[in-house]
Amino acid sequence: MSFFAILLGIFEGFRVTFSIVVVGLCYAVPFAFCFGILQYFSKGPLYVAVTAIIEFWRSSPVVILLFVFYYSLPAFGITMSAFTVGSLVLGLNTGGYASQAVRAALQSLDRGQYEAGVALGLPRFQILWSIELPQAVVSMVPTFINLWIQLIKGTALVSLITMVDMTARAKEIAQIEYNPVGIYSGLLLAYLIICYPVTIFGRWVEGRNSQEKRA
Amino acid sequence: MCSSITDKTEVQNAVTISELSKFYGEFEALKHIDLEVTQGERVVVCGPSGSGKSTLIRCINGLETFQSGGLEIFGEAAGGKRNGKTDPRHKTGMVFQNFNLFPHMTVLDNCTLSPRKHKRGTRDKLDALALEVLDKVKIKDQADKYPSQLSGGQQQRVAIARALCMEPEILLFDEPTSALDPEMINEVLDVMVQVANEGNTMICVTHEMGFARKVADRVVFMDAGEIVEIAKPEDFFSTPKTDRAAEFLSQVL
Repeated sequence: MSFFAILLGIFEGFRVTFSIVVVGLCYAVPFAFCFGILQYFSKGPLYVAVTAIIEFWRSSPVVILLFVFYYSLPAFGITMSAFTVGSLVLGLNTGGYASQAVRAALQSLDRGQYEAGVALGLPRFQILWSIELPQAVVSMVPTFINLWIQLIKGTALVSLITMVDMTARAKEIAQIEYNPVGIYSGLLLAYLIICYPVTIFGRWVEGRNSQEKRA
Repeated sequence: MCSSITDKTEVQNAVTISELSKFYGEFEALKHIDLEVTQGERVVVCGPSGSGKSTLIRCINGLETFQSGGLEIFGEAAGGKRNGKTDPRHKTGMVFQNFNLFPHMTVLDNCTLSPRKHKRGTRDKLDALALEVLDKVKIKDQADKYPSQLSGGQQQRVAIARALCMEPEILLFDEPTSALDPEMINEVLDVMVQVANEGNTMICVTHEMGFARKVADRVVFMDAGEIVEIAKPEDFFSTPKTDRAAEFLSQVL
């Protein structure tokens, strides 16, 4: 088997890897904004509850979460497909990290921005939406891009819950043919090929942001 | 008692502050403040740093809460905190020491944000109105620029325009020239004098004694959280009644 054939074989798992990333992002981004903003605003019991949820997703090892959700929950009558578990767990784990980028970006804004909004008689939500978030999003971008790449790399773990992604394909090929060097360097290259465009995209977004005039 | 100096007793009070006290923990930042400002009056608040003058106007604007006493704006009580659309403090506009312009919006959008969100008219109408105000502060040609492309003095004039676009009944200035390079102070003061001469009610915290002499109806001198002296500017500058005011004046003049 040529190196190119191995690479093609690995990319048969691309659709699964890609779908997990896309659906994972659909969990991660809304979770990050909802919980990051909630944590920024909340006090007392609500803050504790919000923080507990974030910490659960952020501080648990993804492998263990995958096993728990896929193998343990059915014992309690909750059965989810491997795809649902994979995208949910990876997405919310990433979202837990990203929520901290959201909160930190909001907290690091100059308080004068909020005060100017109050002085203009804007309601709190309007201050968040028109004044705080547009500025905070700019400083979130580098972290979000990093986490996106982390998410892509993390999908390799879904091969442990029966999904045939790129990593699972590599293992399958490895069982047919003894060529660890070719197969695993092919796998590394495969992940590099799908991660690098995200890096380029990140640079492009940051470049656009820095052109925008800021005080 | 404080308004006894003005003879416009038939004019409505814009701001009435009575027995207002504010604490930061144990520290009493404002001690039983009494102050009345009539409509159309220009009041300059001065005093050494830490005297509570900024805290006072931030209380008027609802940026600070207070623990006791009363605050009325055009006869309507304003609580310790801003509350909803009926809050009379929506009648106040504020200019900050550090401008606090929105860096992600053009000069024009900075000015129209509040009127747009309060649905004061169509975008075209509000843009036209804002351009008029920007023309007044002599910065109309910069309307499409972003704040960071402007000098400090220009930014502060935009901030004044932004406050004016709210069509406020009371304008508050919190040390508007303190963050400016010396050569830019006058362009801002000129605009403030112009705004004052249009009959707006103004409360200015400032160290610019020349401005106080030129436009203030009364000067309020504060020290250590108290109003120490209230006088007409000519009396305040020539014959301050208290030693503390005299000492302060000897340092700033």
